[in-house]
Amino acid sequence: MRPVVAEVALEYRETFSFVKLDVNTQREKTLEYRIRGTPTYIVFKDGEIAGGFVGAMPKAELVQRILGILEIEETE
Amino acid sequence: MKRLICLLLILSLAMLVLTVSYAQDTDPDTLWAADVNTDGVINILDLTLVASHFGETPTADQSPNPDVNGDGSVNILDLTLVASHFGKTVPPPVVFVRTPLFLRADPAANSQLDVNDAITVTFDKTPEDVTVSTGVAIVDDKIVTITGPFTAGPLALTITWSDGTQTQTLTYTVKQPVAFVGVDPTIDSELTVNDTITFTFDSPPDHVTVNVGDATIDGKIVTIQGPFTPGPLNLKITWNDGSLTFTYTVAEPDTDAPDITSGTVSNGAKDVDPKAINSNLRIEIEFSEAVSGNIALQTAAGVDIGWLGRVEGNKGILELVKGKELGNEITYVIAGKVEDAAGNSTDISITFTTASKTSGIPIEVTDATFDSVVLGSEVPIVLEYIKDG
Repeated sequence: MRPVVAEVALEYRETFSFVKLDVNTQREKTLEYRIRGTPTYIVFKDGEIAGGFVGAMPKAELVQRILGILEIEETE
Repeated sequence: MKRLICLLLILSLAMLVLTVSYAQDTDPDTLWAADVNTDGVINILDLTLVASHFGETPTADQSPNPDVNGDGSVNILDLTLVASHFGKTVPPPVVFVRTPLFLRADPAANSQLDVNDAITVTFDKTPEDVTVSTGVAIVDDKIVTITGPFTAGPLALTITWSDGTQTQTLTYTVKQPVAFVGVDPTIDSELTVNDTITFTFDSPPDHVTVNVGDATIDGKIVTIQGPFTPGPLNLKITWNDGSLTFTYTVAEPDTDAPDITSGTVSNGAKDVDPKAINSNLRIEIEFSEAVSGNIALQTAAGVDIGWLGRVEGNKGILELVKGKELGNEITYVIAGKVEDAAGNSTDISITFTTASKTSGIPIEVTDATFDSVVLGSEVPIVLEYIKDG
């Protein structure tokens, strides 16, 4: 999954930023958002949770889900 | 026969003189001289002694001494003298016994004493029946030693001798004992080899000695300066009024330079998010021990950025100054030098480079930077929870 995220982060760097957080070391934010498995994705917009999803998936599906939450049309 | 006739003649003559001068007053010295055999009575025995030495020239210390009048020869005058006091009783000689005289005291009267001082009093001969009003007196020949402890304040010490007939009063001022107040470092603490131990008293102590190192006295303060030998230390301090022992542990000399154990950024870090640091308003570096020194945030060219650097305890802190925020894609150097208490120093050089604003490289956040990076972002954030990096 790591290469997929890296590719998406690079391709969509003008649209959104990817941020990663290690559940083993950063317990406070892991518990606060009730994370139960990895990978888990939470999409923030203007500091608020816009949506989220769980699980590893192919690149196209990952992009589709993120853009869907951000209500952005696929242009690339 | 001739000698006997002569003796009888003299005896007769003496008896005649006796009858004439019997009533004369006599001084004791004459009576003692006439009592030639010193039996207490002037009688025929004394006359016989003189007569038996008649014509002789006895020495002055001869005993018995028939030269009654002390003119150097035994003659008619001596017989006459004995005869003139014939029958008298001679009073025993008065033996005059002089009492011992006080000569001096040490310390001298009117001086200051310590509570446990001893006073020595010297007489011209051994005194008898010595008593003192305070303390204990020990007589050794002509010296009387009076030992305390004495009560602090004015002291009037009266010495009595010769069965109470002689007294001498000596006045002193007995000093208040100097009391221990405190010590720094406290007992049982750990010292370094070159530490200084400071003792405080309630007034300046006298005759201070220590079993380790040298004591320096400054008024009420006594300092003992190392170096001390590593290991257990039993330091005994003795002064005029007491002694105390303090235990310490002297640590082995510290030869280890302070290490950098952690920090907001690590040396060689890349893609460091400047926003996270700016929002935290500071960069911190932790050291392995308490240090002093300086720290600054510079560009790679060594130009000071203008952040406020300080070193406190085991931390180096760089505080953001408004308008001096970190930028993107810039290499910074945290530079400085710190030193531990033993003088071991470490040069600080931590180089890090901030990330591009739109690098496309996922940034790792922590609980501490989460709010500024995620919630404070101007662009949408996709937060990926991962396990083990």
